[in-house]
Amino acid sequence: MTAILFALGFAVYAACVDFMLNLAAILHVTYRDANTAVLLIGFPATTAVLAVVCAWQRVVLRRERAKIGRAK
Amino acid sequence: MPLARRGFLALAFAPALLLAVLFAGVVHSRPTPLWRTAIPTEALRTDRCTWYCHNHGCPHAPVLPAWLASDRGAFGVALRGLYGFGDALSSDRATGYGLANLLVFCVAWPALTGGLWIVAIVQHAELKQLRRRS
Repeated sequence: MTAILFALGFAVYAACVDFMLNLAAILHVTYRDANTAVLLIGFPATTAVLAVVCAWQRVVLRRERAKIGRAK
Repeated sequence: MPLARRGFLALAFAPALLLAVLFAGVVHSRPTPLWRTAIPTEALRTDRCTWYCHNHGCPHAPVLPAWLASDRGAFGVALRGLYGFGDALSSDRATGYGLANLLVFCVAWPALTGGLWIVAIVQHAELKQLRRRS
């Protein structure tokens, strides 16, 4: 079981490196640039935007519920 | 399955599907084995990065500014952090580093982002329902 998990993990890791190397080649940038852009800019930016959207929706939802409560 | 539920599931999994297609497209934009069992040894090339850059450190000049992409910048900090995390996971440095990468970038972070995406679409649907009611 451990050997299978190790092989799977290794294959996924290698595929991720292949992705970064090929992305770098497509964009005419370096492997380091591709890693930085995807993992240190793209990932955190997406998560931050989603977190802000969720927090904003929560505030609006609370306001809407309060409005309905007042109307009743 | 009701149409609304099917629509929700389609919307929930659309980004994951899109990313999977994009990932496969980029990985196989050059002839690449589907299942690697060992770290490839490739020669250094001047025109583009190869596995040499992964195995020995990338000698090419990055396009991004040094505060982001240099060893002293954010890239270096992240790399040292991953090695540190990896050392806590395994006594073998390479295995620990790989495992740390997988846990952070392939499990924990996508799970967090996916969770936030689900919360966003659920809250969006709830808001729409409330506004229709009021």
